[in-house]
Amino acid sequence: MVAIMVAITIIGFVVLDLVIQSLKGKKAQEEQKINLDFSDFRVPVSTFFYPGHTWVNIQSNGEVRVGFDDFVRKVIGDIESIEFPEEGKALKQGEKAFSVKSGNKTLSFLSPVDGEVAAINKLMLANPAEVAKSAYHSGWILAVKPTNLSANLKAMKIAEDAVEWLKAEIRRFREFALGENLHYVKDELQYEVGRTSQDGGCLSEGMLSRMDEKAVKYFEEEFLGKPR
Amino acid sequence: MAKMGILIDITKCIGCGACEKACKMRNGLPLDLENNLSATAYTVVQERLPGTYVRRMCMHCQNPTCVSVCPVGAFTKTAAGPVTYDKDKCIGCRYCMYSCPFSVPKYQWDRVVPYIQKCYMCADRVAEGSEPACTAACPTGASIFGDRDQLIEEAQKRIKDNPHTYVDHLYGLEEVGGTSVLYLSNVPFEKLGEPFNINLPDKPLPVYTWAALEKVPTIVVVGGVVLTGIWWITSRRDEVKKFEIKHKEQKKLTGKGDKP
Amino acid sequence: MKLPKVTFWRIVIAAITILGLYYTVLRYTKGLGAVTNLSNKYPWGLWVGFDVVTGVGLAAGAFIIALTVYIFRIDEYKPILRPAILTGFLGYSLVAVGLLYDLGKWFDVWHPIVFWNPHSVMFEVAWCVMLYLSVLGLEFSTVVFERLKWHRLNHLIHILIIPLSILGVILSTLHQSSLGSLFLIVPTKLYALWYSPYLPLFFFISAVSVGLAMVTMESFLSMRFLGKGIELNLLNGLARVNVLVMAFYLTIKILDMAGRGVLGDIFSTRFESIMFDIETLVQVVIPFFLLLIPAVRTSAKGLFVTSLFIVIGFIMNRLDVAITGVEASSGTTYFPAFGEIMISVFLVTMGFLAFAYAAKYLNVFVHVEEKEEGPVEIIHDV
Ligand code: SF4
Ligand code: SF4
Ligand code: SF4
Repeated sequence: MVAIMVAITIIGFVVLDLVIQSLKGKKAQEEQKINLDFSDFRVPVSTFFYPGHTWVNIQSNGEVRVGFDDFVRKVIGDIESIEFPEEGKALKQGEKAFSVKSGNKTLSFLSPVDGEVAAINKLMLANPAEVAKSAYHSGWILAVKPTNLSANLKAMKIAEDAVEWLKAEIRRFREFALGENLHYVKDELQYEVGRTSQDGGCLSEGMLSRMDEKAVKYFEEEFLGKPR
Repeated sequence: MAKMGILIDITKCIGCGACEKACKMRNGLPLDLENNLSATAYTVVQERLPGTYVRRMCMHCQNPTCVSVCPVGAFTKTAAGPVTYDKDKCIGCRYCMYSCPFSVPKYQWDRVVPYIQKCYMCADRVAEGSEPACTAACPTGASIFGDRDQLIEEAQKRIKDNPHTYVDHLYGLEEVGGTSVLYLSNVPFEKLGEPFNINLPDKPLPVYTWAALEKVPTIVVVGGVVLTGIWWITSRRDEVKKFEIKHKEQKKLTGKGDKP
Repeated sequence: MKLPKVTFWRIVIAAITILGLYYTVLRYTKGLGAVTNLSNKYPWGLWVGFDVVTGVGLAAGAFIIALTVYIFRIDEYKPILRPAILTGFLGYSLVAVGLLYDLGKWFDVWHPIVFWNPHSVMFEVAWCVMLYLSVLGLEFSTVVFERLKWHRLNHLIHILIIPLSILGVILSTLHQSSLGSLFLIVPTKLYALWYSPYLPLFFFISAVSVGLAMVTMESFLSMRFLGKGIELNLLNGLARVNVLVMAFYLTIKILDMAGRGVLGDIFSTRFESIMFDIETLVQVVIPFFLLLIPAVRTSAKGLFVTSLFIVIGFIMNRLDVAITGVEASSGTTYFPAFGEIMISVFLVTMGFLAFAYAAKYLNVFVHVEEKEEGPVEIIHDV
């Protein structure tokens, strides 16, 4: 009896908290739609950003970790699976490294470094949707043994530069997705994307899933870069 | 002094309650009669079956559970037989109550500074060579006080002489390693309830915990050695790693230098 | 002065505190009988069963993580070391406070230091808990010294940390198992499914299992209250170890029951048997199978739910052994009084608050914060 009483009390508290959280969460979500903005992004200080929205972090054993940044993660929303290169495969900066699947869409990412794939993140393999949420931490994709690091790094941005760059990218994305700056986007494309963001003209997580193929293609080429 | 004890012969008990009163007077307890052992009743006489009275009191075990479990050693099994309680040592954990196989120790729940209360076989009177107040008061000789060995002899004689009256069991002879208080009955003990529990082992209960407790020194020594060993190995491993890395770097440097 | 914002949980905490203080005053001015439903037939209740026996088990995470980081030297787990030690320290402090409520002569709580009885399991537990609380205090003191910038003292602890953690692991092994030995003395009172000569072993193993689960829960709590990130890969590692621990626990439990010939009792419809079955399902069987599924092991939700299962099942187990298991032989029934429950809830609430404040003002999550700024090296692959 006592055991059941205590168990029920604990479960009661947890459930109560979840209910309150979800009530609050609804409010917060509504706010979030408007707020998916600069303030939602953080740039880790020790990480190099490649223009194709991948990042590099140098490990003490000389390998580098490669992942994609939080901005893309938020645009994509729920990640279904990741197509990894084989271990040992040689990568070249600016060439395709891995791709990400979400819904019926596949996005390819370019490698930020030259080198050889040393390991893949098994956790990402098992449960990409959850793990990817920690974009700069548990959500790494590849460990690479770099072969040309100092030259590669010249194409990347770190710290304040990275912040400025990311801000510019978000601005560019707003223009693209919300048509805020008409002359920037081709008319035809703007029309189609515009339709997808009827939810009050603001950015929200997982926008990509609501875009059509053309828009996705445009996003991939413009933001993730074309393979060399 | 010999180990003293009390023999309670259920066939002789008439349920007069003289022992209860005598005990209460002796110990300055409120005189109203109670149904159960409590902080104000160290002994009670209960009618368990029509005409059959069972007198409850501390069994004064030979190897008492209460003595073994008390973290501060508030209980003592005296050489004379009584199990006594030191209220100043007691911290009030009530482990003795929880574990006593006969549920004897009782607590002063209503006090701000409560103590355990139970029969102490009038240890002071016994030490003076006289007998407990309750046995002295018993009008029928249902409770008698004496040397435990002699009481056992007497009880076995009674069983032998009246095999049709008594069940052939001297309760307390072997139970939990033997008790100083012994019971004779004409009704099978299992029909009478507490303190008669035929499931009780003949081993003293402290033996069960001692089986675990005696391993403590081994765990400490083996644990200490093993853990230190593991730590030594893992820290060596780290040192070796560091050394190798250094070594490699040096080799690389000198290797480069060698090249023309 | 700015008043704190009124939120639902703040109101709840305030209510609990007021009730808790009221019953505290009552307990110390009117005695145990006025607040509790304890009686001569039922001398141990919720406070012993939950605040002490269960509380010590729930704080087992500290020694496991200390063992992992300091002795096995798996540095990967460093980020959760400090939170684990903090919870351990708070947990054991709460046990000590709980004891002060439960002991009839609470002001004599120090007696085991001078009056020895090495034959008493309780004596051994008292010493171990006392020593281990000091060890945890010292282990955690680095965090405080760091904050106060007392580098000398900090250095001293640093030198002592290895012997301290070895001592801590030994002490924990001893008293976690001894909490099981406490019940070895009641072979005829405790229901046969629970009473076993291997109780100390069962208590120790289940403490390891719940310790791992509690560390996982702590991560979620700190995410919930402090908005910290979750170390998914570390928790995943803990979950995998836990699968092994639970498998071992279940195996020896079944072997033991079969050996004593009581295995059939689990199908009995007696109240105790049903409680035993529920407890075992919640504590081991369900989480074991859940954790075998990779998707559960690697997702935050999955880890949270399985840990919750383990923790609740563990609590049920301890309460069953300490309270329900002896109900039948006691000749009466026991259900804690409202005051008893309120004090337990009050203590747990204070623990939560202390954790939140310590986490806020001390560098408990130092490593996690580093990580928020950027990935810190992770040498080990999951
Ligand atoms: S009957 Fe109980 S209280 Fe009396 S000596 Fe035996 S164990 Fe101690
Ligand atoms: S309640 Fe007192 S006498 Fe009984 S075991 Fe605890 S300390 Fe010893
Ligand atoms: S021996 Fe003394 S204390 Fe015990 S029941 Fe008899 S009179 Fe009371």
